Amino acid sequence: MECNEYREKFIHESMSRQEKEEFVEHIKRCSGCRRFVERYNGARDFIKLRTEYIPSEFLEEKILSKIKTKRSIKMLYKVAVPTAVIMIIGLFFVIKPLSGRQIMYEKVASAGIEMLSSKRTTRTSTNSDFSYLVKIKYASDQF
Amino acid sequence: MKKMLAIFFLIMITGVAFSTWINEFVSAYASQIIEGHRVIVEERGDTTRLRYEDVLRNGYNEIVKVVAPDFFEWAHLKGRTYIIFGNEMKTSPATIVDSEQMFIKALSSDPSKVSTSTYNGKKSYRIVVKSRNATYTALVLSPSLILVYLKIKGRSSQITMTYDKVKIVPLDYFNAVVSKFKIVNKPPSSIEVKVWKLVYHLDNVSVASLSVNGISIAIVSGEAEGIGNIVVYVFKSSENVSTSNLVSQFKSKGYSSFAFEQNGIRMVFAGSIEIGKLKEWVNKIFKAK
Repeated sequence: MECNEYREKFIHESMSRQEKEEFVEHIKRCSGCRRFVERYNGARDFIKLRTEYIPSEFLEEKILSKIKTKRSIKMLYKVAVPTAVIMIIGLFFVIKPLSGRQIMYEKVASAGIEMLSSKRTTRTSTNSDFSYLVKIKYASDQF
Repeated sequence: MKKMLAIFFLIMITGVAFSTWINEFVSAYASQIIEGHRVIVEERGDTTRLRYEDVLRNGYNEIVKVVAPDFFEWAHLKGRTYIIFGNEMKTSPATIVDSEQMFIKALSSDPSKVSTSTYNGKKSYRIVVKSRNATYTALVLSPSLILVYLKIKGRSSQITMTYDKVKIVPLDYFNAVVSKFKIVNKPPSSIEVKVWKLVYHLDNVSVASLSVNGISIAIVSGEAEGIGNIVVYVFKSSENVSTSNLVSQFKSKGYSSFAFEQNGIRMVFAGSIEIGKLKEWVNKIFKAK
């Protein structure tokens, strides 16, 4: 018999006594059929065990919770990561103008700070749209 | 007895005569059309200011060109003060006080003394007026009745005005000069009024303009009495400027600062003085509740 014929008959348990003896002799020589028999027996034992063993509620819950956690992590990757990326990009566009405004205020205030820190002894020259107001003051006779 | 009576009558007659002369002078001043160049010296404490002005006057209407130290033109027309910008006369946010007109006002209401005198070798009259706040001493040429010298001595200051050139000009000349200007009777803007108020109340004042991102800000700096150096940022409330941001900038450098809003104008004040005193000064100036 060929290997495949032996294996099929082995799975279906349809070998005659003689065929079984021949297959035992064949296994000794054929490493492929030997490995097949080993694997098949392992799988069959596991199935047998699975049908005979009923897990405790605790273990079931533990398994379910692990599955949920795994799903949550998957969701996190699907939703939270893109959201975070969008937020970071958004913040970049918000913070950038804000820092620009901050610089503007620093610049605007620095002119006044300079005026406050300088010790004035005489009237300084005026350069403004409102400079004529200073001229009004000094053109007006005051006593 | 007769001698005393004679002296009494002489004094009376002289008094009446000078009183009539004063009325004559005031009327003459109100109808004179003159063009001249005058020098004004203002003395206040240790500070002396000098101004050179070209004057074209028709009675109480006048066009004054300040030629030094800073060029500036203004006018008094029909009781209103105008600022001249090129060919335009714009309503001034404040009345410009002319010492001559102050003198005429005092002369009409306060006791005065007239005597004959000379001015640069020319016959003149010396008028002394004592008002509550000041003593006016004037020299008026005879017989033209043109004012050529005026000294006003106040409690803490003195103004001396001297004409080095003055002549009578025809009315047509005055009218021709005035007609060249376009008179804009538009009331001053709120921001102008606020900046003027600050300028008026600060010594050694200066005004700067700042334009950042299309926002116009006027920066007024000067010395406030009893406060010291202060800086005020003035801008329209409609401008997109954060006052808190500006205030914190000043505070971060150790200055007292606060923002104040009135009539659609925002102001940010900063100074080295404690915040309470700064606020008190601002409230006094702007009569804020």
